Amino acid sequence: MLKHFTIITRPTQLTIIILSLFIHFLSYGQNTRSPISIKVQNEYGVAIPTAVVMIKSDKESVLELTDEAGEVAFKLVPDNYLLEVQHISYSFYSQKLNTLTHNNFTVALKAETNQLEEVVITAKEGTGLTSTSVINRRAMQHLQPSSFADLMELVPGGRAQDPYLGGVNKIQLREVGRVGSNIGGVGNKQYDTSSLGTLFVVDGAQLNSGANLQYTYGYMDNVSSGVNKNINISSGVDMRTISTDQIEKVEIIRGIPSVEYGNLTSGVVKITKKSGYSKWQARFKADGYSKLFAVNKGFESKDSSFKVNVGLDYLNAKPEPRNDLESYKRVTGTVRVSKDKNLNNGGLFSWVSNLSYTGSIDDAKSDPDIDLTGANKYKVDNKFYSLSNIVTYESRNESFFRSIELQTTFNQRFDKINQTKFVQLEAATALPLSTVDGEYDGFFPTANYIAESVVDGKPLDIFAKVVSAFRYNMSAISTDIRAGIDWQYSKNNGRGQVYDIYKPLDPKSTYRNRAYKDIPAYVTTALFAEHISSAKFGQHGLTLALGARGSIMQNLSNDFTMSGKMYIDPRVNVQWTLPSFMVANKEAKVDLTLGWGQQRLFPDLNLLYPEKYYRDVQQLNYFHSNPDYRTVNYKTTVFDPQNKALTPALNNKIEARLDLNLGFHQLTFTVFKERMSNGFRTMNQYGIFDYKRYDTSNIDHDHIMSTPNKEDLPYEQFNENFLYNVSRNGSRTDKEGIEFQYSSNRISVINTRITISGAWFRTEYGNSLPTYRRGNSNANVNGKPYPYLGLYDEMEPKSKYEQLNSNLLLDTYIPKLDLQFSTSFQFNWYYLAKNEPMNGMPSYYVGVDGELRPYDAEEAKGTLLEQLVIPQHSNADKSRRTPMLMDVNLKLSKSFRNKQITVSMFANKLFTYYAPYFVNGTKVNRKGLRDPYFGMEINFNL
Amino acid sequence: MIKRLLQSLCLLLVVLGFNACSSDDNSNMTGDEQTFVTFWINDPQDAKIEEIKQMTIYLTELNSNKKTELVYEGDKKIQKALPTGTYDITVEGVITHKVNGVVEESKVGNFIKGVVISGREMTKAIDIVFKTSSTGFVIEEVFFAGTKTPQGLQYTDDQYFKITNNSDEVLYLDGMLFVQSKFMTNDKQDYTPNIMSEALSAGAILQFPGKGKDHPVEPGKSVIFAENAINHREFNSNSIDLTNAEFQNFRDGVHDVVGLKAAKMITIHDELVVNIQGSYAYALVKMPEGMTTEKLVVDNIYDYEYEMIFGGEAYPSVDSAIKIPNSWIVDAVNLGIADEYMWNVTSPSVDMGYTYITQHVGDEGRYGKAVRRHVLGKNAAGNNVLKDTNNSTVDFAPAVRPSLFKY
Repeated sequence: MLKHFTIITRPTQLTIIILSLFIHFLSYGQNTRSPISIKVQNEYGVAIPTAVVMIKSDKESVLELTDEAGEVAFKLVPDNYLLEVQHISYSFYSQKLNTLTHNNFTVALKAETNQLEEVVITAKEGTGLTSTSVINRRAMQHLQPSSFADLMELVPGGRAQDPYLGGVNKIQLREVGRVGSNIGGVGNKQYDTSSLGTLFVVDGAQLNSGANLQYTYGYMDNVSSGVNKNINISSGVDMRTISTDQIEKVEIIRGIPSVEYGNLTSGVVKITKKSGYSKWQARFKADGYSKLFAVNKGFESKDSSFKVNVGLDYLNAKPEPRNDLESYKRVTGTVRVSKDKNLNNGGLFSWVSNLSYTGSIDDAKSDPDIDLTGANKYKVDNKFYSLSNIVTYESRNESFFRSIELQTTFNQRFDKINQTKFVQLEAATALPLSTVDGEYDGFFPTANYIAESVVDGKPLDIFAKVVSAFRYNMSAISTDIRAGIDWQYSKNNGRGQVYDIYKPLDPKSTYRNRAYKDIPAYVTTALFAEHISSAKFGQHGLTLALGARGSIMQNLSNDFTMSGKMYIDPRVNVQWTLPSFMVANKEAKVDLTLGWGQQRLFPDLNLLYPEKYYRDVQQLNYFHSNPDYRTVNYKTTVFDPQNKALTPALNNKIEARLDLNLGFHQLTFTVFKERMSNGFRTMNQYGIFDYKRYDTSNIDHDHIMSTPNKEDLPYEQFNENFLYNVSRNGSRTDKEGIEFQYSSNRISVINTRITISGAWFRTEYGNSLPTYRRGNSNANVNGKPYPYLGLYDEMEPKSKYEQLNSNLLLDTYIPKLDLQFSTSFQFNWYYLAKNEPMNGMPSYYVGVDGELRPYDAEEAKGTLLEQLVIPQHSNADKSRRTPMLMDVNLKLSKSFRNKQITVSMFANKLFTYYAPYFVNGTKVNRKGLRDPYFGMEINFNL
Repeated sequence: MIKRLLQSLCLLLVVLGFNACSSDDNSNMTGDEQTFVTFWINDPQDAKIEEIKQMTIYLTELNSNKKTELVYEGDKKIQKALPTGTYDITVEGVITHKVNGVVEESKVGNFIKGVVISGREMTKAIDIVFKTSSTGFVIEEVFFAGTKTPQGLQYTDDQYFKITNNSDEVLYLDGMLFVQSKFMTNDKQDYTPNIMSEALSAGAILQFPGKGKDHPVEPGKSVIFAENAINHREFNSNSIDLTNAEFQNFRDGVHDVVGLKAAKMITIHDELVVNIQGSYAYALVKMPEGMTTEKLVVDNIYDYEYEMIFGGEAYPSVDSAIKIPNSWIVDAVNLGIADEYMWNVTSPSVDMGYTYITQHVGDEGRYGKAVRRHVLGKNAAGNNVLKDTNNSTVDFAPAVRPSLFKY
């Protein structure tokens, strides 16, 4: 409706209207006409401009728009007319009118309650076949987000978080999560499958990449954990890279998505971009962390068949406002073009094309006061180009065939991590060089040097999808069928981690470069079909969706377990609509929805083709005071941690939902259970290697004339075992919970709507496969590493987290002032974390010979083997519970100049209450721990 | 054999004969002659007496075997009329004196043999020397902070410990242990069970190599145990040459380089990474007879648990260490950062205090500084006597220039 209205307001359209009116005047000019003026105003007597006033009689019909004063004038032949006044924000008004008796007429339009009800600033709970949160433009505008991550507040169980722009923002649907927390399973990279398996789709184009390999080797070695926060391999889409300004609507499918969507475990985030005419819209936001500027505009042809939308936005963030040296910048530009064409056969052909660019830069420089060399720099630079096309043909005949849609997406990323570091050896060091097994000489790096490293990744993702829709009716049952094929190709054409091997960034690293372009492409194909039947049985309605998706991973060598296998995801959703009934003169509706489904996710390139592991042992290290006589020799043993037995991660979901509607009151309850026992993670594998140790003690160091030849030296032979990481299906994430949302109507006296939303979540994490560990402590024993490795059930304790969150939102809209304000009381009623005690007893053990033997605890007593038993804390299963906390967030927006300018501000955590609690007898007072988060923005709509 | 026996018998007879003679002498000098003696107490070498807290002179007249005790009453002298004769004199006392401007209390003493006291009046100056309170190895100096390169970056490989024989006899380091505590002085937890009163919880344990007498240390002499016995000036011109260190740490890692001359320490348990802030205690340990390192790492495992409090939450944790009974400990020192120090990780019977280099974390001034034991003075052999009261707070001088930084 808005769209049509705005079309009319455009000058060309007006000209046509005026022209047509003029023609009317001409044709009926012979009759005596009397002037009539109509003033349109609202309940409070404020003039309403641009209201459509139509006056019609049997003979003629005229139409005019009110001016700024809300007035319109006609010259009419006296007759009985029907006056109709329309405006988007007001109820339709019509009245019979005799122009003889009236010539000045005032119409008071009533603000449309419906329209007011439509001002929804929270996520609306979808009423479809699966649990979905729908976030519209208005809600986003009221929230004033910096990035997509901020929208997660609106999902049941979500809370307002200060923007965390200094690191990757992973999505954690239905998970007890704490942003930036690395404690236990929460935020732990071993439990990332849930975020890796959340699909982001923008106008049909997938955002997730299968070929992201951007990390520095410090990440793998866990050396420089400070920079790891900017790295998101195998963890899905980084939500801070998605700007919200070009988004019209977001649907977050938390439940069981249609089989059209696959290669996922947790859910789907469907983003619909703005389309169609809009005025020039500009937004400027500033808060303590960032500044954001966005501008966008929509163009549309007269008949609405051709639309162009352009948008540009820029975010400049200082993740730590007091630190000037670290920054995050994001630039997004999009062009969306769509064209509809009605064909002669009654079909509709449409084409949508999206071209977008996202550049994001994490920048860190060293503090010149600390780093006197000034050489140190760290920069993550990601450029993302996406071109997607959707071509649809829709039949408008009542035929079996309904439509066919072809989607293609090309996503090309140019990712770079640039690092420059002044390396000062903190200790005399030698380094191995060989990239193959065997005995090779290493080298001694100089005392200091400048190391430069580039991680060059060029992931290319191509997606193609064809979906056909069919429909048939059989007696009372109408059936929709959707079937299609989905194809993905992901390849990284980058050079990998490029650096001078003689000048490594980290002189302790054992990393060897590999080019990403040598890694085979990731190819998947999926076939899917969905059968949705709806039927009415008297007053009852029943909708049943049955779907299956078969997916296959290609381009794998034959020895992969997944090779040539088709994995079938069955999904079922059923909705039962009970007969509606009247309560207090309002229609009450009850829907009951049940769903069950399997969702599978293939491992990405990083998991399928991990880096080789190099074990280098010094066999000879002769560090003479004369550099000419120095020599170092290594035995390099290469281990390939590739796990060909990887299978897709499988998440089994079951959920039940109850929707109650009474007038504008809406109440939704969703109960869900999700079980995923084979998520991806790294686990310890053991390897054995041997090496020699040359003895140089018999050399007369003061009188040698050349480097010692190792062939002439006595040596001892040693065997050792060690642990390295292998990707396995060993991560269990079980989620269960209850999500709820209630929203009232807008209570007319105070123009306020009450929304209560929240969720109780319980998430359990743990490894699901046994793992090797070096027992009690990693301590060396008698000069060598502790010689035994045990096979244990647990890699880390199984942990359970629980929380109950609820948000009470009061939002008030005062049309007279065009003022909207909301107060959100965000409660976390409790948070609980509990570890299950581990079984520290190994079932098997391995010595330095690499042979696996059963472990006998009795036999081990009094020997070194006894230390394989890992002692357990007597209170290991004690739960950590933090009591209630509450934040009060205020948001306010006011429009001026007929909605041309909107000024908004927000203050999160303006008031807080954090209940104190006791830990081991010590009172923990959390008062004053959280600072309020303020910001404001101004929107222009010109 | 018989010849040897005869020789012994002859020797015995000679000794008996001498004895008879001296008795005769004694009886010859039974006169009433008395000598009024003034004993002056001299300052010990390299020190000046502030006050004599107490002092007793024990005199034994050699002929009559008559014993006399004289108690000091003031004025740096003791006066008494004594029978004329030949005396052995033993002095014992406590004095105060200044060490680096701080008044210290020290035990002193001496033994002077065969002093002839005769005439009407006589003055005898009594030399005193500091008495060694421990009679073994001590950790004299710890240089753990590392140095700063000319570019202002940290260099840590030049850390060292200086171990000194603070006794009067030759001692051997062979087979002794060098231990780093498992617990940290800046992280106090309620470790359960608490065994601190009986044992030190050891993290890294290293053993000095040698078969028993390969590494002798002369009285008053020191050895250097370096992190790495190479010439560090090659990597950092602000550092030192440790090529002549006697021992070096040897971590069986990938990239380490070790010096060629120094003996490698044997890693018994864990590995020694010397913390650049201190934060641990270090101890020299002598295992009793019958104890081996193989037995130690099996029999003396100490499993403990604690609840780590972090961010308002308690995390149950478990870990293991090796028990080192306090009675095995020859010397120990607790290190820390003054602002962060929370507790001592040894029993007070081993060390009652701690020493430090900096007051606060991140103090750039810490580079190139060490902690070193106070020197009380010289002993009779002319060797330094190091202060060892089992209280590192008073025994050590904090943040001093390391002794190896001579330029």
